[in-house]
Amino acid sequence: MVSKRFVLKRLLMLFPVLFGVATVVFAILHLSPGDPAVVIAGERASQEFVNQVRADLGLDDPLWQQYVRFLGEVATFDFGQSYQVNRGVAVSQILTDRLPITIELALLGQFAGLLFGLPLGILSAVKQDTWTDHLSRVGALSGISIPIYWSGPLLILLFAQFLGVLPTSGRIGSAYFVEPVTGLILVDTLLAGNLAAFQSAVIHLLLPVVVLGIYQMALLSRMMRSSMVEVIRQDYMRTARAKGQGSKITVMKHGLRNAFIPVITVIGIQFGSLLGGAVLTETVFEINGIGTLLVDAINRSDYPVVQGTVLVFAVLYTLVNLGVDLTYSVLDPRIEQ
Amino acid sequence: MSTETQTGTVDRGIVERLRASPFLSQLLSNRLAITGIVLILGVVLIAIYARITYDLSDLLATQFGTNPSEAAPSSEYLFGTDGQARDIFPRVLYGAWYAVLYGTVTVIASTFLGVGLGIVAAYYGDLTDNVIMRTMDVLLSFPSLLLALALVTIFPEELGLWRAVGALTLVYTPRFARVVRGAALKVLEDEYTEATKALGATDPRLLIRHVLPNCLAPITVQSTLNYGLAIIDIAALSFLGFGASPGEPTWGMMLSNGVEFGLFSGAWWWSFFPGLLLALTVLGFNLLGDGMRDALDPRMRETVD
Amino acid sequence: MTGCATRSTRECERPLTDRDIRPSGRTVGRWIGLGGLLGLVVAGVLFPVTGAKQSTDTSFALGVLLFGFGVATWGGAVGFGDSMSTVQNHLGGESEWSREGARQAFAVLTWIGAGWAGTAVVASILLVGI
Repeated sequence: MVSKRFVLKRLLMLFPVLFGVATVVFAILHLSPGDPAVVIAGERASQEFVNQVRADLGLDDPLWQQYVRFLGEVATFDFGQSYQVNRGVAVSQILTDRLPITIELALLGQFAGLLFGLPLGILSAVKQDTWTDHLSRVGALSGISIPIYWSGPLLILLFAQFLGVLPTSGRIGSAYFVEPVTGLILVDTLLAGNLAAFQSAVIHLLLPVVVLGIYQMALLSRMMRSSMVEVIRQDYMRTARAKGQGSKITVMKHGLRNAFIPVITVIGIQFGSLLGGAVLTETVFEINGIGTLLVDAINRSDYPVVQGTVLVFAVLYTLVNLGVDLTYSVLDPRIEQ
Repeated sequence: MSTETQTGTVDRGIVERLRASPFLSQLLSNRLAITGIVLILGVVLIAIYARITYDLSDLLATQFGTNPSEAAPSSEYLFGTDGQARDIFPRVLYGAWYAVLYGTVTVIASTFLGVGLGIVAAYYGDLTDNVIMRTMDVLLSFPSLLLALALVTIFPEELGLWRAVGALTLVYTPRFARVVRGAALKVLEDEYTEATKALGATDPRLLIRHVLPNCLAPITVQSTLNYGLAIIDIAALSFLGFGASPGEPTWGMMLSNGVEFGLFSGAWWWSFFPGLLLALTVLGFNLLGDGMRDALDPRMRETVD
Repeated sequence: MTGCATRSTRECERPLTDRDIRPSGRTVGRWIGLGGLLGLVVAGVLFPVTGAKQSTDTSFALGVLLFGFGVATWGGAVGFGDSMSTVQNHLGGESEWSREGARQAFAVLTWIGAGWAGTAVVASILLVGI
């Protein structure tokens, strides 16, 4: 089993990681040519007004002083107020409102990808070089080649425009209002006991989750296949079978466990591309998660929002990889604790 | 499509010669890889054709009065018209030119950077090697789109789509650095190279004469694999609003406008055709890349992304 | 370096993680010094073009960028270094990622960045004031 000390040591590493990421974002934003003072004052503002804004924001101070101030703010989870996207609203507030939306989408997408991708990959590996294998490999390759910003609109066309059975955008019908408790719309509607609203949320989320899931499915089935092929090729599987060690099923079970180890690790890294996919999916389906927030903020030079959002992305990515690392050490006893 | 004519006209002699090489014979016996080659050739031909035939300023200008706005595909407007009454067909063809141009520049630029870093890492070894390659490893484990989003801000907005090219060049460099370092190490460790060194060959000559030619095969495979990714990522960045200016006939921009303005008013053709060509192009590169990898090393694992 | 075809570590029977080449106090000082030099050079080159504040600010931003990258990846390598090697294998085979090697590489980057940012701050205080 995993010891508490092992987990704690890893959790502690979150601090340098986040400190470093915050520093990198700060540096990149200050190296980029955009001027936040101009953004806030507006393109047509007078030079005096721009200078005034710059002085008010402390952008005239030497950069290292701004950095020290920034670190103080980050340490207290205060990223300041949005310049542009939600002018005047605290960044931390925007993030708390929007984060659950993306988490819900990402979790459902990952789940859908695992649910279909892993069996497909295993099937492909077991039936290696048969028609089933070829078909699923070409399918997976197509899934990777078709960008989310095309498959999304295609599905909207088919199900919303032509068949008219699913809604085109958003997370829930405009007729419903549900008190946000967790921020996860599926959970909130159930907590409110409003089944009609729950149903509405399900059909709204169906297409985005499918679009995100197809991509994950394609990636995961390719990985699962290659990992499984590797394991099947290994000697001990043959030895086990030759010894008549139980039925074919037990051998498969043994092989599966070993095939899963590399796949699980890669799922952590894959979570990054899931977040990238979520950015695109949210844009296509007009879902106001942190993906669209990041794009908006970068497009409109809203520095405080960019800093906050990137940090949240980094926390998510690191936490998932921490989870993966822990799972990995449970699965692979060779790792010393 | 014009791609159909390509396969029939290939010279028999060339095919025979190509089949003599084990790598190419493996590749050419792979039906999926052949499909990929055909798709890629088709797109390149379309790109060149569009670049020669069409005048960019004609494609940019709104055509109210001349054409109907948001007209469905017909014999006159093969792919329909968009909200600015522009004929979508020539714009989609011209988009192939953009994709090929920007994709090529991205791949070539990251190859150059990667070759530089990879050779330096392999040649100097020790800590230099460790610092360069571990940095590359970390950059490689970030998702390409999110990393590109962060890097795109460094470049001034006036650069347009070249911003995306710049960001993605940095994002892809690690892939090339890793491949080149591996190949360069093998060459450098050859006794043969040591003999060259003993004869007094200077460092640059050593590198250029021996290392580069030996890296060409892995670089080519890596470039092919990256080409599709570059095209899809450039389109994604332009879809998200980084790069292409409004009205520019890039696939990403057309898709973005088509989804935003056309999809809900029923003008599906606006986003459908740019996306179709984009997906076929990327599929072509992925098929060829997979085939190349299988031919080079069947045991090589499939990469993430 | 007998038996070494190149200056690379591969053929030399000396792993990257050798105790002898791990940064001790003296080598750390060397990296900070190198970073400091870089910080001065960048600020100095930019000074005639952009003036005192801009040049020291840019130098500081670059230094702190390297520093931040070093710290983040160092934490990542120490925290999740084990699963990284599997990931790196999956990404294409040729990587020689090891937890110790990565930790060392990123520590070097961190020290260089720290020295760089440090001299930029000093230059800023001297040229621009507080």
